Amino acid sequence: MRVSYIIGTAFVVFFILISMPSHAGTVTSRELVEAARELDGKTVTYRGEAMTAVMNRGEYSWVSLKDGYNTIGVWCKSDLLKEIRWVGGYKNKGDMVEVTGTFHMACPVHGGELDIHADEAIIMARGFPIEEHVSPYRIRIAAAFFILTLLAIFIFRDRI
Amino acid sequence: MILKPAAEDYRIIGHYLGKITIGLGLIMAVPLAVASGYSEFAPAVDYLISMAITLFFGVVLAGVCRTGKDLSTGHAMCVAALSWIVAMFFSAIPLYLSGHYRSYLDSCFEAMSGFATTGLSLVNNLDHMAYSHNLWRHLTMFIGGQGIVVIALTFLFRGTAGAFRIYVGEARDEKILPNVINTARFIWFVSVVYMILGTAALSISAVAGGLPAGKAIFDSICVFIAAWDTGGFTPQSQSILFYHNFSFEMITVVIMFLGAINFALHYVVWTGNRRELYLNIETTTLFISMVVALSITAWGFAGNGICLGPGAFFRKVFYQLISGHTGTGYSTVYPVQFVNEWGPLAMLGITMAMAIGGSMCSTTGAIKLLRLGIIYKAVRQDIKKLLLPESTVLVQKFHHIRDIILQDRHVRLSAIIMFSYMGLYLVGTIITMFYGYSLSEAAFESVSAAANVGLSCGITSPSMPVVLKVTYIIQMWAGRLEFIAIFALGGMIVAALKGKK
Amino acid sequence: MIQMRKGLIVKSIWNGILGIASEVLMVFLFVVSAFIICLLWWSCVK
Repeated sequence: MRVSYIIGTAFVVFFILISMPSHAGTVTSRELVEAARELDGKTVTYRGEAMTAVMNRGEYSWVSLKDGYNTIGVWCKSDLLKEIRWVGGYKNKGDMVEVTGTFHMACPVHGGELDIHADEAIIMARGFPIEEHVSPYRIRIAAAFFILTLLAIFIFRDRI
Repeated sequence: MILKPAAEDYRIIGHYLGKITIGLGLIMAVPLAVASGYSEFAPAVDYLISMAITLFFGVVLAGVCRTGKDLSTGHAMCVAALSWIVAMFFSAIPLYLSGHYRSYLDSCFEAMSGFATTGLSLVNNLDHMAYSHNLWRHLTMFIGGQGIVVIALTFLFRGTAGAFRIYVGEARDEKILPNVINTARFIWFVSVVYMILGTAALSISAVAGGLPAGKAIFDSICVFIAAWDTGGFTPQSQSILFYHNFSFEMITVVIMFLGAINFALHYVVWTGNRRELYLNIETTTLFISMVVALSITAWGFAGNGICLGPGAFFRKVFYQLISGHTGTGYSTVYPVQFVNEWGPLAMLGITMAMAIGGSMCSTTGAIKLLRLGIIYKAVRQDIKKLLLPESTVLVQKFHHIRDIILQDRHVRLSAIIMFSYMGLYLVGTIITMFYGYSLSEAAFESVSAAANVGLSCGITSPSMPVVLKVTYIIQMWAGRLEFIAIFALGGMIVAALKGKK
Repeated sequence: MIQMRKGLIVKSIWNGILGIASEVLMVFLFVVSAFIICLLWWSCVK
């Protein structure tokens, strides 16, 4: 029973894997930076968290997308980025955005920067506010040390 | 015969070290205030803890080692050398508590990198960092760059003779004005004036580039501090590339240049002697070394087969080069690109510029232009001597604020420091190469650490070996203090172990 | 006396402003010459 179950699952997984559409174009920031020469000028799909701010430059805008490794600048029509509501920072997790466009190792238009000129931008997941957790343990440590410091100042009050 | 230090010597060192630690603890009130302002409660608690620990240590140390005596030169050197280590350990506490560092060692690396105005960073997930923590990173650069002691001088110390000796220990031996307090005040004055101008210019440029005003002003303050003190931290993980803004880049270039100018030169220019800018041995040396290093870098970069227009070519090559030459370490490329796309020759050009560095009595590290200029003049004098009849008396001069006759002691001092730097660069390079990196990568990273630059070719990362982290910490420390204070500390330790009573 | 001091202060402020301007000008000259050098190398190789 159990063996057939495993074999069955393995088959299903196998078929799912081979029937998946080819994602050759999906890249990570690590690949973009380290294999920039090979990917230069190619169309790539890249996914990352929108960070800090969408910088509007009129018709086009810059947005920085961060995956686990690096942050990559994306140049894109401003209309496509209108949907971005959350940008990453200390208090927020930014929207997860997937862009497809041309990758430049040294962009001729933007002073030789490494960037993606995106034609499409889709929001894959919404960002959210990050709950700040203040550890009560740390507050106790802080209080303890402050009392100690006051005590020390009192003891050494005319020696410093 | 070496004399063993007496208990009194330790007391003097401990007392002043304690005072400097108290100063550091008090400065932590700034990020604490920022944390409260931005209602970041977890960081606020971190700063409360760090402040309390730092103050406690400082008060106890200063109290236990009570002394009425002023510092001698030897003591002052030891205090200078030790205060950087102590400051590193304490300022690493809030960084470690922030959770953005893998280990306490990593946060120590970051703190030393800040104090030494290097700019190499081991931070994880910088873009999600709290404003207060980010400001603290930049503040360490301000404290280290303006001089821990300059700060202490203006606020804490009563007796100035001893304070001036620590100031010398921090490798700022030039008295711009006859009085050391006035010198410190002038350094503050210049910095504050440029801070207002620079921050305003950067903010306008950033807002024009589409950044929200609040963020733009915060970033501008941080970027100004790190550029002026030739540090190189940025609030964003992409460094200056994040802003995608040509005018922003150019303003940072101006600030970096001004930060690499001697404060004594600022003084004479600001008091009316503007011709000095073009006569000074340091600015002329800077021009020549920039031309040479830029040519090498441009030649190397042009040979790598990347097609760029002249404007983009200039923007890329010049920015990284000048950022390296002034010891700042801002970049508009990703670290790995140096290895993959720039190639060894371009990296060598930047390494050379980094190894030379900026002016004396500025916040840059490295060999420094004045020393290079002096050694060049000495070589020229010796060659001339060979060619002229033996009876000729040859006087060689160099112009630094005034005409100075070149003497053997100038050359000797310059040569000792220059060779110490060369040694430091070499040791770091060899240790890095033990971990399998190529010569050009290892030299680039090692020089970047020892010369307090902060450009990276990808070796510096949280996952790098512990030995390398420790090596770079030591390099940053030794490079910042220009060896003399460290030699004094080493001498003290030897004396304590081997000396006779 | 007060007139003299006033004159002195105005003069030193003026000197300071000119000082800042000349420093920025120097940096500008550095940048321009660097641009020329870059242009030379760029045209040599292309």
